[in-house]
Amino acid sequence: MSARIPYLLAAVGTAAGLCLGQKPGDELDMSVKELMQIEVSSVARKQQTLARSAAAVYVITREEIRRSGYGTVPDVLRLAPGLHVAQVGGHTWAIAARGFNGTFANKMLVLVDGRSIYTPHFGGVYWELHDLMVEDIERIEVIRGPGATMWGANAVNGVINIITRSSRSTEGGLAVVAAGNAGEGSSALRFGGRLSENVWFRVYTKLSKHRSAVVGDGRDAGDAWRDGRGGLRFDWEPSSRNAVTIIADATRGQFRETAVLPLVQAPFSREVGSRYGTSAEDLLVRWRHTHRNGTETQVQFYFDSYDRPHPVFSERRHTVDAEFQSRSRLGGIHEITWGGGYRFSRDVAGAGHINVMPNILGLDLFTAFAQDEVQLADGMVLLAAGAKVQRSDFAAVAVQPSARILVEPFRRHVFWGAVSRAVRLPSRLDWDSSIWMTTVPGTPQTRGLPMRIVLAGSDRNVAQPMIAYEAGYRTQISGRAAIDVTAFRHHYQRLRSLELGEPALQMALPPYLTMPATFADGLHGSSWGAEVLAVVKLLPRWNLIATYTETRATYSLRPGIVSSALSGEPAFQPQHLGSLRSQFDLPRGIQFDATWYGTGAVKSPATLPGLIGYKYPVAWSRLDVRGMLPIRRDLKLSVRSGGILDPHREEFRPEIFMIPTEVRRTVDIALEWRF
Amino acid sequence: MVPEADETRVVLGFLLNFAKFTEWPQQSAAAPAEFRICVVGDDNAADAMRRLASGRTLQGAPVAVTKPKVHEELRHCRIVFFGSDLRRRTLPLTALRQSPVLTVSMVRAFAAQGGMIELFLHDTRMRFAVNRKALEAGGLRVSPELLELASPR
Repeated sequence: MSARIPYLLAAVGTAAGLCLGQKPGDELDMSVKELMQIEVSSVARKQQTLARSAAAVYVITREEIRRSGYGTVPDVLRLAPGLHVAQVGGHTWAIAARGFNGTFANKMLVLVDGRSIYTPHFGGVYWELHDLMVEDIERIEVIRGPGATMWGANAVNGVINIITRSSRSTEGGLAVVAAGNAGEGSSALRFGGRLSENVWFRVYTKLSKHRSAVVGDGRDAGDAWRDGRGGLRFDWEPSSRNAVTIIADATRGQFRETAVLPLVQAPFSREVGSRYGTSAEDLLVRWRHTHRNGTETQVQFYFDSYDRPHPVFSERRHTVDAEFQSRSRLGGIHEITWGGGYRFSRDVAGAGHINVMPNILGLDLFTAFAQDEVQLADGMVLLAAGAKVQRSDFAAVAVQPSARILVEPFRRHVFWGAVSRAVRLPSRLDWDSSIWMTTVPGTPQTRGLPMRIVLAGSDRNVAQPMIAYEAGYRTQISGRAAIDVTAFRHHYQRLRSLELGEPALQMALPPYLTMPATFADGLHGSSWGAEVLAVVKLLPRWNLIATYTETRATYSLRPGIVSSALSGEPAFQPQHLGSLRSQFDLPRGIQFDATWYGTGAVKSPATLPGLIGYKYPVAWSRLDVRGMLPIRRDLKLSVRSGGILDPHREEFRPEIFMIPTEVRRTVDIALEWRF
Repeated sequence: MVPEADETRVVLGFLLNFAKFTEWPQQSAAAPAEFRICVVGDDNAADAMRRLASGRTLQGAPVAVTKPKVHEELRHCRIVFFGSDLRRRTLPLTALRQSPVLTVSMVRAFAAQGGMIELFLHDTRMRFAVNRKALEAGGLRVSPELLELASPR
């Protein structure tokens, strides 16, 4: 289950013949054996494969990543349509599709090489622990909407699947050094080779120093960070029908953070600067086998561990996961995929401001899925139906069926539709948390006593089902333009609401009140909108890519619920989101690329309490540029700037526990050497 | 470094190799003026192959790549490559069944339908499957060396 995107972008490089390092057509003189060893890439084939996906898919290709000049995963994700990517401070991002974004966004499944990286603590991703070497990313598949049957847990609003390059493709050495104007920089070194006729390997290391964000008036926000990572990968093909992949990484980071924590007396909150170190390790082993009859089976096992002692939400976690999947063709018409997996995840909640009790917990997750894809009318119609079933410790069995249809009535015109049910399984935050959100200064109603607002999780939070209706249309126009349009409507049930309790008096000196608020499941919600992507090759050397996404949402109380209409969900979305990218090839291999990304004002139908005085993020945009100059066949120089138009800009306002910050403009120079 | 290559080039590489390992039945006494490779259902590939193959010779004759529009002309080709623009049902395989024309394609289930050689991608690498009955019916003989490298399908 992977799909590719119109590769008009890759065509710019090859058609113009400006890609350095490509050999001329030796293929015509090769023997059959040699031809069978080559990795084949085909613009037309990829266009066709992607166009036949009954889902809102976009694939960020290696070439796009290179041309964007971005060096971190969150920046690269801005290249996909429909993804709201906002940096909230030096090392925190709010990334989501189709609404429900926030620093605790919980409806996206994110994977790296098949390894799930969202945390069961609250369902989001610690992006700062995944400072991957972007040069070794093969592609990133971004699916908006509930992931099709086969993806794992948490794929409610979308799936982001980051796939790194096989070590077969990364023989040789690569060194990249970048240095910026505010003392930030990174250096990465990778070396790959062939150990024997059918074993390849790659080893890499990357060190980065990242700047802090700034507070509105330009002061340092106290959240700079640095990290180092390294890893290796083996790809072994014992026979033409077997492939084994082993990936291992380790990372260490040093972070500064300025947290905003509540106090019981005036001034009722204080800024706390802290420093902490993180560590993470992972190991993944995968074996793919093709049977004589064409059936492909895959078995995968991974181990993942990290320690992130953040002052607000501190977590240490170990995860073990084993999965199996099988795909077979029947009668040339059916393609049946099925499989299952088990994951065990054990966390130790640390001494952060947010408490979870019990603070040590192991969780089981069982998943099974099956899907049948049928080709009818000679390939003109594709029908797919399947279901995924999950059982976790937090919820009863969750059945998630999906049905899709795709019709290609004429060549290059594809219509598709899908109905899917997805379920967000509860997280530790939903069940076990205790969070002192804020302190409200004394009012006449509270007789002048300050009042703490404390949120608590509850075991009444069951799984959150949602149903998504989606439809789309794709077309290619004479190989020079492609358009991809999707419309969606999501209905969510049991969204997190808050039940406000009676304030209780705490006899302390000075005394104060505590009002409990419990996470409940009292809200319904709907979101709807459309996503448009257009790719145009204006000139043989000039590509333009434009995207626009509109998202709206509403909430309401479930009937008969005694709850407030206050939302406990991260529920922010910009109504308007768009981007415009230009890729221009100049003579002598020089490239000039620019990406404009902007959002309208962010809205949320309802907010967390304690966001008193919260100012919604206003519209913002950024223009990132990159110029690349090949100095020698093996040496490339790039000059890049992120957010060139403003010295700093606010992309998102943190809901709680962080100071509002603005992201700085970056200007840096990078040198890339292949050896 | 395992090189990446454009699919059309790789397909043409295979076609040239197939031509080297295949024996066509002796036709009329006159030596053929050209070695004709016909491409149907993929104009882009046809144009690319024509450019790439110009100046080459196979079996002693210069290679010519043509794009016949009429099915009857296919009988005069040595190799016919059916592109993916065609729907499976419209493949004129039955008409060519007993002609000495090597039919090759990447269309799914081509060999099952009576095509002689089906090229397909396994991951990102090209493989091929051979339908021996179809080869026999057309009177073509393929060397065992090539058959050894074929995949089952």
